[in-house]
Amino acid sequence: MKYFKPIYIIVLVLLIGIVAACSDDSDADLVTEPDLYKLGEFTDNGLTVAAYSERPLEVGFNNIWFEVHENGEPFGHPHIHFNTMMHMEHHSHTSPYGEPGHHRDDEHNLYHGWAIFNMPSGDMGTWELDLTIHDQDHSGIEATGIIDVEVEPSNRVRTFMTEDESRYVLTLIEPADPSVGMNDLKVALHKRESMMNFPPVLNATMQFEPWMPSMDHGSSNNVSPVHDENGFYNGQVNFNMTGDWELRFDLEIEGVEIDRQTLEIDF
Amino acid sequence: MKTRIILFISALLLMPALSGFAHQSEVIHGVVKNAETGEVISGVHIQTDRGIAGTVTNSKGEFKLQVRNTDKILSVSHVGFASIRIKLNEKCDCHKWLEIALVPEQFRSGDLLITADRMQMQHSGVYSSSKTKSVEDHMSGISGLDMVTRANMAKDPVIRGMRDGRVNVLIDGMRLTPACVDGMDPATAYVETDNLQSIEIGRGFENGNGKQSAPGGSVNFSMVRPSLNSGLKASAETGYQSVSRQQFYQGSVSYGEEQWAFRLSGTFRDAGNLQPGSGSRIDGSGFRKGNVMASLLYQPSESHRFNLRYIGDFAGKIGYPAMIMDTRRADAHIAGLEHAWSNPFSGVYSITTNLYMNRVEHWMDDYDRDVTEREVMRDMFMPMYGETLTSGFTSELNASRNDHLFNLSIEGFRIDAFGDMLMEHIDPSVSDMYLLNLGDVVQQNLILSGTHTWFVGSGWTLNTTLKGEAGMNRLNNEDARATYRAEYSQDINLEPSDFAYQIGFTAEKEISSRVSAGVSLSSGTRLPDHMERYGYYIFQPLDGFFYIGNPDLSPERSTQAEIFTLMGSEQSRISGSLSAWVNRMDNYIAGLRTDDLFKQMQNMGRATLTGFEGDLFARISSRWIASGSLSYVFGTHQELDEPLPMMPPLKGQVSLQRQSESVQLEGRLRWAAPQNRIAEQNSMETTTNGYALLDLFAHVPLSRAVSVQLGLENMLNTFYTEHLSVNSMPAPGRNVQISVRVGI
Repeated sequence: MKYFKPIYIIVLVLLIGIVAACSDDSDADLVTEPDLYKLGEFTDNGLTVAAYSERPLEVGFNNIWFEVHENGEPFGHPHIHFNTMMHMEHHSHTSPYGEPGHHRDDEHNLYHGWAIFNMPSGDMGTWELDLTIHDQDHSGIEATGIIDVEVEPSNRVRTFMTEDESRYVLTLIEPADPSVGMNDLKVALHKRESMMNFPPVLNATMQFEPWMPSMDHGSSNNVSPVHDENGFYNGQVNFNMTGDWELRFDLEIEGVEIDRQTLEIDF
Repeated sequence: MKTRIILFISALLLMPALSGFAHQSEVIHGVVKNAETGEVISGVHIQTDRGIAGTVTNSKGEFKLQVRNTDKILSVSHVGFASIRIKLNEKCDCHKWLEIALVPEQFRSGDLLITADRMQMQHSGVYSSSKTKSVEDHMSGISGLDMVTRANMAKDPVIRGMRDGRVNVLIDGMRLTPACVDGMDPATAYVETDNLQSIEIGRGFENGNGKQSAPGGSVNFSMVRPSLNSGLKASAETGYQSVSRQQFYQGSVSYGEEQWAFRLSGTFRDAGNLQPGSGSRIDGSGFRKGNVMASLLYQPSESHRFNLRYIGDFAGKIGYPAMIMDTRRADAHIAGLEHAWSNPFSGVYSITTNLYMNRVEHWMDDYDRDVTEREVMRDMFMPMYGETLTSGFTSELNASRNDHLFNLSIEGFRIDAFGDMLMEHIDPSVSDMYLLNLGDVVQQNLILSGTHTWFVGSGWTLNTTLKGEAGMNRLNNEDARATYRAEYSQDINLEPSDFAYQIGFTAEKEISSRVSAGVSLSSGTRLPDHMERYGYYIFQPLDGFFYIGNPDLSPERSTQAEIFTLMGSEQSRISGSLSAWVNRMDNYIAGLRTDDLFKQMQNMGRATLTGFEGDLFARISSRWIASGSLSYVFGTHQELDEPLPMMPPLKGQVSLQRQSESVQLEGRLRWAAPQNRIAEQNSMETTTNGYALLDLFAHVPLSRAVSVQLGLENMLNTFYTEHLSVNSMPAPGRNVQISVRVGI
């Protein structure tokens, strides 16, 4: 035990520190990947653009993060424009989405956007993210590219058509991970004005009721969603037991009552 | 009217002062105990030799009696014990506390004694020594006491129209918490007649079991104790009841030496489907049930006695045809250790301490039902599980000084309760649903109480009771907490603490040597029980609603007044009692209907119950005794301006008994009037028809050791339904029963 005097331990720790400090980062191009699910990347005009999500994409609301590198270094202050695109046999269409802001978010230090996919990938068609990146003053490098993505099916989106043949997309965002008791309820409502344009609906009123069809009862003290911003509506839902629940929405958009729309949740 | 009542009460209160100088007759008082076990004995008859004065010991075995200088002999008698006579002379020193010991009679020690507050010993008929009859059957003759029927076993006691948390059901003073959230396992399910020495029933707040009283009253099942110096004893009984093809087997063995004794007994019942008065047998109404009891008594000295006892009750496949599920299995383990300390200090004649713990588990499901046809919860199976652990202690001190008796007690108990329910849809594509009915509930209570009895003189006895109770509650399961926050508010206090109190006063006057009368006044509060606070989606088959508890409930207040009179004693040619009472309840806790399916527990204003009970015994000759009883409850919920639900109708019975050393006979007529006062706004109660039933019983001792009991109940095979029968389940039709008992 005499070999393990404190002085030896201190010297050993110092040596390890010195070696670690002097070690040359021989691979300067090595990019540290965030702790997220990587959707894909492309390189154009010296810019490498990567997209990430929390988990594999699924039908419904998805957070998407972007990173842009130039020669392995984070690219200054990019403007990131993107849209979703579904290519089908005879036509293509987009879906509701939100572009990232100009600043990195606090959570992942990445550029945060979102997309609502209203159908899954499959034989009907394939999804992609169409991206254009340029610097802030539009005088520098510009990169464009596509990231193909897979979208898994889910039942968190309801598309419907009103009597005047207007088409809407109702998306359940929260609760993403439901539990017994009171849960935050967040939905998004978008209008399909064209195949390429899904503006948010800002003035809908919603009456909401959760219902358990197999038990034939609901729950109490639910709060119907009201508009918060940009087509997102917030309320509360009470699940008094686990099982299969229907979230029933009675909507009124621009004075027109819409047939009840139902989203299902099972936990 | 109010003025008259006040004048009457004032007169009763002033009478001792006015009449105190009229007579100088002597008052003796004391306690009667079992000579072998040291236990106090209630319901003992004490009478002077000429039968002019007499009384009965109360639930604590205490008595007081006014005697004249000319009285020479005091006779003390009680069923199951050898009668004794005490000379009232100078050596008696009767001015002091009198402690009387009765020796159990060997042959009739198995008799079950049933007492109801001031009422003298209830004649439970020739079946008093039979174990064939269930505990509920033995209690059914008490006026003012009814039973909620859910199946062919395990009925829930209802006293003066009140049940559940308003009635305390105790086993040897121990609290037992049923585990089934739907009430399919009341405490009566876990005791067998063979376990019991007596059943003590207290009707109302003031007549309850002292510290353990409740607004409705209390039922205490006193367990039988092994006897010291009894040597080896054994008994066996087997019987059959035709109405449910029930077979019954019971056996016990006991042994007692000078300082210790033990008793071991077991009972097994196997019942088939019940046959109502007409039509076919009710499918799925049978049950199987086994019960064991072990009791060890150790008395190291005259002053100290320890009693360790255990009851294990194991039931299976109990059919509940009137409900949507059956009990698959129910297990109960009840254990207690009692220490009785006699004459520990000057003036203190006993300190009794009891430690106990009991655990109940209950499984029920509907796997044997066709779930595709029912109206409620169609197309799914719903296995449910419940468990409770109840632990606690009681310690009671009894003291006397001159004409004053004091009883001080402290009790603490804790209830841990859990219940859940899985819903399995018959369509496998539908996900299972899971519900917490009781999410790890903890209830802890501490009770302090004191009773003072003052034998004022001139036939007056004054009794004062004070009780304080603190309760603390917790809901530990996080999902259950989230559920209640969602149901009420995020800020709701899920750990409420409350305080309850009771104050009571009784004045009793011996108007003559044969008649006494009195008035009893009490007021107090009741803490909401764990089901009322935290039970979630509890299906109540009495009205078909799902109940949601409310942690924010306030204590329920009960103010009661009772006028009573007692006449004669059991030895008298005519004896009886009559009580009339009123019970005003404020902050009445009940389910408030929120829609067609749900009720939420709420304090719902005021409810009033009024009623009476009367009992009469007539000793026609040395062999023949006639008796009759009558009771009625009138309940109204003022908040809803409608009758309270599930009120028992006017009912009564008359019987004629032939008592003999050889063949004992009893004929009985039971009847009930129609009940048309039903709750319709807040419940889904239905009316019931009246009925009258004829029963015959016989007890035939074939030898000193062997006896046969025969019974023919509902002789005319009348079809009827008790008003307190859940979902109007028909009552038993004609029942032929026979049992043979052998004692060694």
